[in-house]
Amino acid sequence: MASASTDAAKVIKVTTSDGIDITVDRQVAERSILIKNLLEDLGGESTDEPIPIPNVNEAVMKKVLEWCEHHKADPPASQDDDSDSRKKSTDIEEWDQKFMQVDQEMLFEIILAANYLDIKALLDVGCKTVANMIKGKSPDEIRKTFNIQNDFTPEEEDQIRRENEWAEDR
Amino acid sequence: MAPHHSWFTSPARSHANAGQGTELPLHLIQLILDHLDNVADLARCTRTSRLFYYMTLPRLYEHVTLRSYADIRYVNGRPEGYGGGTPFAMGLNTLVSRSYTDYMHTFRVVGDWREHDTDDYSRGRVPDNSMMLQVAMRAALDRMKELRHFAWELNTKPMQTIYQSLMTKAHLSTLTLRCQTKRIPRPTTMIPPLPALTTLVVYDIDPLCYPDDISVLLLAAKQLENLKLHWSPRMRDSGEESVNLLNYFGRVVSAKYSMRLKRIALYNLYARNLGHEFENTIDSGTLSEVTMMNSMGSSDPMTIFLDETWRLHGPRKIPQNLKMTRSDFYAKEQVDMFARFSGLERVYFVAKKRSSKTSSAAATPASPSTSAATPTTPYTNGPPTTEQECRTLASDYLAVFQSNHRTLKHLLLSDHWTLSDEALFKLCQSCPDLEQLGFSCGVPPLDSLRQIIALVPKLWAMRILARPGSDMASQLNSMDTDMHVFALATELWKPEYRNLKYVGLGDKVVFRLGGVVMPKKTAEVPQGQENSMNARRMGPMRRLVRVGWEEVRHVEIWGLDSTEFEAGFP
Repeated sequence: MASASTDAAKVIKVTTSDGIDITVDRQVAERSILIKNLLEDLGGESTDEPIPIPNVNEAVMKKVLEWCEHHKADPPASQDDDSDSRKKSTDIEEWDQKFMQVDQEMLFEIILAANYLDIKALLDVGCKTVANMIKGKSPDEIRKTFNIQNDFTPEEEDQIRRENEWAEDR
Repeated sequence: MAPHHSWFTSPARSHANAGQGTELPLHLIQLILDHLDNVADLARCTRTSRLFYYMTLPRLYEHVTLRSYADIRYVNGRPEGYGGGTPFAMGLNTLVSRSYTDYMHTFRVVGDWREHDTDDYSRGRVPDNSMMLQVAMRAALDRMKELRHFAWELNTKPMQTIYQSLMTKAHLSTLTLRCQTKRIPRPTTMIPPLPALTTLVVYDIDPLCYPDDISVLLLAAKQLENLKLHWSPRMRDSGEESVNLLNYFGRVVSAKYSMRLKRIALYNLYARNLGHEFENTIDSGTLSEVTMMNSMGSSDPMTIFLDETWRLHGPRKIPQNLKMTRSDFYAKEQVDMFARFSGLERVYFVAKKRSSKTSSAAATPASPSTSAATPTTPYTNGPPTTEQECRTLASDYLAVFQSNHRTLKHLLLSDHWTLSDEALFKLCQSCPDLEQLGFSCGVPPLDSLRQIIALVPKLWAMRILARPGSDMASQLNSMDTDMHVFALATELWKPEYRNLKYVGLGDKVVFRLGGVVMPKKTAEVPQGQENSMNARRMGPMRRLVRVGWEEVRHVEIWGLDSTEFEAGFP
C-alpha cells in the first residue's frame, strides 16, 4: 500500500470564519462530531475541499484544534469511566487546566466553538472552568462574569438573601 | 409553583451591556450552572438577577440542610441573621411559606437546638420552645411532596408529630436519626412503619437516654437494604450491659423474618449475643458489605465477657455474597469465615490512630457530643498481644486472600503487619485485579516494587503504611519530603508504574503522580554508574505533587481508613 496516498487521506482542511485555511489531521478534526459527520456524508471523496466553519475564527479554531490534538487518542467517553469517577464534578485534569488559562473572552469563545463543533468533552471542560470561576464569588462578581444586570429591587434582593441564608451558613 | 423550566418565560436577559464581550446562550449558561455543586454558590447565583434566580432555585432547594447552633455566631462583628431570625429559623420560615418545597428531595436539620425550660420535662410536659420546633418542622415537612431523604440530626429528638408526617411520604427512602445524649426524661415513641425505606441510620443510641423504638420500623421496611446503627461509646467504655438487641430486632425475630440487607454497619456495639434464634434476622445471602467498628471482637477486659458470647456463637451461616468488609479488628474467627466463601472485592483493616476524641467514661455527658467518635482506649479491640500471634494471623489472612479472594480490588492491610517482599509478591501474583493497596513493609522496597507492580496492572492507588512509633515511621519522618520526592520520582517514571495515580508514605505524605519528564539531553553516564545519584538525577523523572488528605478522601484506602462515624453510606 502506498503510504503517501493514505497519509494524504488522513489530512483535511478547514476554512475559518475569517477565511483562513487550516490543515489538520483527520483523526484530530474528527474529535468534532460536526466535522466527523460532515466527512462521513461526503463519503471520503472530496476531502481536498476545505470544510467551511463559519462560526469559528482562526485564533479560536487553532486553540480548539490544539485541544483535539492532545486528546486525539482519548477513549470515547463512557459511564463507568474509571474508579476515580466519584471525584467532584468540577475536577479538571492538569493539562486541561493549563489549556484553559486564557482570558474570559477566549474561554467563552472556546465554549461556543465546542458547542458548535459538537465536541462534548471540550464543552464540559469549558463549562467546568467557568463554574470554578464562579465558586466563592459574590453576586456582583458573578454578574460581571456573565455580563448580566441586576434587575432586582434592593428589597427583593435582601429578601432572597434572607430566605436562602441557610445555604451560605457553613 | 414555578415549573422546572419556567425561565424560558421569565424576563429576557438584559442586553444593556451588549457589545462589551461575548455572551453565552441560555442553554450553555444552564450547562455551566449544572456544574455548581455547592449550595452557597447556588444561593449567591439566585441573588444576581431574575433569570439566574429561576435557573438556580430548583437546584438550590433539591437538597436543603438547616443548621442550628447553641451559640450566637458572628459574621463581620454582627450576629448571624442580624435584623431578622437565625438562618435556621428563616430557612424554616421559607419552607413553610414559599412553594420551594416542591423541589425538595433531601431535608436535613443538624446541630444543637437550644432547649429552654427543660424543667417542664420533670413536671411531665414538653416545654413550648421544643414543641414549637416540632410544630414548625411538621408544617414544613407536610409541604414536601417529593421528599426522599430525611435526616433529623439535632441534639433533641423528633416527636410523634414528625413521624406522622413522614408516614405520608410515599417516596421516603432514607431516614437518618440522631438520638439525644441527655438523660432528661421525655416522651418516647414507636417509630411507625415506612414501607419505602431502603436506608436507615440511627446514631448516638444510648438506652438510658430515652431512644425511640425502631423495632416496628425494622420489621415493616421490607425494602431495607442499608442499616447503620451507632451506639454511644459509653456502654463499652464502662462495660454497662444496657443494650438489648431484642429492643431493636425483637419483632423481626418473633415474626421469623429475615431482613434482606445488603449493607450493614455497626459501631460500638456492646450487647449479648442472643444465640441461634437470632441468626436469621439478617439474610446471609443478600449481605454484601459489613462494617464493624469497636464492636464484638475484643481483647479488652472491660468488654470481654459479652464480646465472648459473639465468638462462641460465631456465625454458622456464611454470607456467601460478601464483597466488602471494613473493621478495626482482626481475629482468627474472621479468617475461618473468609475461608468458607470466595469473591471478596474490598477489604479494609482500619487503623485506630485517626480516631480523634476519647470521650470520657463519665455517666452520660451533659454536653451533647457533636462528634460521634469511636474512642481509642488502650485495649479496645487490640491486636493479639504477642508478636508471634500477630505474625501468624497476618499470614493466615494473606493465605486466605490468595486462596479464596483473588477477586480483591481494594485491600488495606493492618499497619501492624510488616510484609516481606516475598509475601507482597505472592499476594499481588494471586490478586491481579487489585486497584488500591495499602500495606506495611520494611525498607521501602523500591527495587522489588517494580516487579510487584507489574503483577497488578490496574493498581492506581498505593499506600505504604507506617504505624506511628514504628521504625518505619521514624525512618520516613526523618527524611525530607524532597528526599522522598527524589527517590520516588526517579523510580516511578518507569512504564510499570504508568497507571499509578496516588502514592502514600506513612501517615502524612501523599503524592499525586503526574506525567513523566524526560531529560533535555542525554548526558554521558560513565559505565557502571547507571544507578548512581547523579545518573538518576539526569534521567527521566515522574512529576510528583504533594497533596493533602482531602484530595484522596474519595480514594477508599484513604477515605475509609477511619473509625469516625459518618452518617452517610459511601
